[in-house]
Amino acid sequence: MNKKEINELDDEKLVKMVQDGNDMLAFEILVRRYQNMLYNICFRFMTDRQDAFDCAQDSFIKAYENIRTFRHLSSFKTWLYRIAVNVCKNRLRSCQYRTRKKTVYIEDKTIDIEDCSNCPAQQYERERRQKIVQSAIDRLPFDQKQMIVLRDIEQLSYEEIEKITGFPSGTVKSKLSRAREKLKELLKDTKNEL
Amino acid sequence: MNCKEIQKILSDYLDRAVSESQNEEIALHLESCKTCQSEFEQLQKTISMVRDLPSVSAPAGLVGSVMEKIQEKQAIRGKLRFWLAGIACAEIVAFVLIYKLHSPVKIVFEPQKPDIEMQQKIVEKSLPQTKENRETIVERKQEKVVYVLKRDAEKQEKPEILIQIDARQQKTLAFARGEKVYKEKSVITPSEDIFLQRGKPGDLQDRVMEGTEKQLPAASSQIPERPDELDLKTEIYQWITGAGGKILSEQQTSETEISSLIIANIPGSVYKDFLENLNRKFNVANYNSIKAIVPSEDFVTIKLQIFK
Repeated sequence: MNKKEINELDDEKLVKMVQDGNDMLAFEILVRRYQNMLYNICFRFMTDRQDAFDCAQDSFIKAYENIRTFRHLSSFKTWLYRIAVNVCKNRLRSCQYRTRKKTVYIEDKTIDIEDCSNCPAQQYERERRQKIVQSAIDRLPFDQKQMIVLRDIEQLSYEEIEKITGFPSGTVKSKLSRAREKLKELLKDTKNEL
Repeated sequence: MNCKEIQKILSDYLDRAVSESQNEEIALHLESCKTCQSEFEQLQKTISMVRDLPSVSAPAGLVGSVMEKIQEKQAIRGKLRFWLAGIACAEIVAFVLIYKLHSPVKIVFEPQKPDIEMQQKIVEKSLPQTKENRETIVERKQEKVVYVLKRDAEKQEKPEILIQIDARQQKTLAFARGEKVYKEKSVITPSEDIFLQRGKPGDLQDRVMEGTEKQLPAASSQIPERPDELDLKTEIYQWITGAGGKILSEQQTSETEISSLIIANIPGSVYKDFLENLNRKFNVANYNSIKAIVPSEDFVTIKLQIFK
């Protein structure tokens, strides 16, 4: 089977190839297939590109190391989401990240605004708004943040969110409701400006 | 539902995750209630802003970095397996060595025996040449001869015949205590005289009364005292020397049952008679097992264990 044929295989077959013989090519195809999805979710959790890169990388490595434990009870995508959420959660909890986060965030924000000073006004305003929304998401507690990221950014179904987070349906609904309410409060001033 | 209840499920209403009846009720309420309508619009705007966030693409190096890290980890794992195997082997070797060191077989260093000859020479030279000193030197030389004989006997390592004597059952005493003892016929051999003449006078008298029964009066004054251990040993010494034998060593033992251990050489020709007479006088515990031994050499080494 050549590279092109392998590239056309679905997730389940690729995963089985990796499970059976540690097929590096099959796993590389899976990484290519889900790299943007995983990086995006990590970025929304971490609000920092380097942290998002590290988390996405760690998530793929963990997936490779634990792929033999994957029993195909959910889709590979959902399984990857679960790994990424846990990796980001652990990283956000670490003291090292907490102390570093404040300085990086202030510097990052300043640089971005300066960099966009020469952009057209509309684009500048859009990017500024996105930055404010991302910073509001970043201020949410992790449980509420993951609800916003999974439901409103990744637009996953309630069922998928239940599988990823392990929360029952009612809990997912109530946590999402509270997260949206909190975010609404945080963005109140921004919305008035718009 | 009131406004508070409506506002609580506005998030679900937005996602169309409410029942049909709830959906209709909320829709009707929002038309009439401006507060709830405003809340709903705010929520819609918020979600819209979040959904407007662009999808961020992964940097170009992510796939390469992931695959590189996986290969690195596999290489480290391979090395780790190699080292673990090495450590396991080292542990086995260490275990075997420790087991050997702690095994019951141990090397015991015996203290070196003193060189008596050398000590004597030094003493002799240091003493002034007086008459007393000369006598002392002669005595010491005799002691030295005994020591050398003992040492030589030990070195020869000839097979010894073990004779176990029970000192508690001296048969001569049995007569004295008035018990019935029958003397066997034709057991006294010519060589027996050698030994018996050194025994107590009464013993010989009792023994020659073949087939007779002697009942002595029970008066305590007439009952001879049981010979103590020293007498017993003196008697055995006399028997050995009388038979032409030689005492090699005698030692007191600390065992609970055996009080003395005498090693001696006796002529092989008189061994049988010596043993028979010994058994006649004392109780030789292992008489049956050693009576048939026929010594092949001129002198036979005997080891007498005297039990308390």
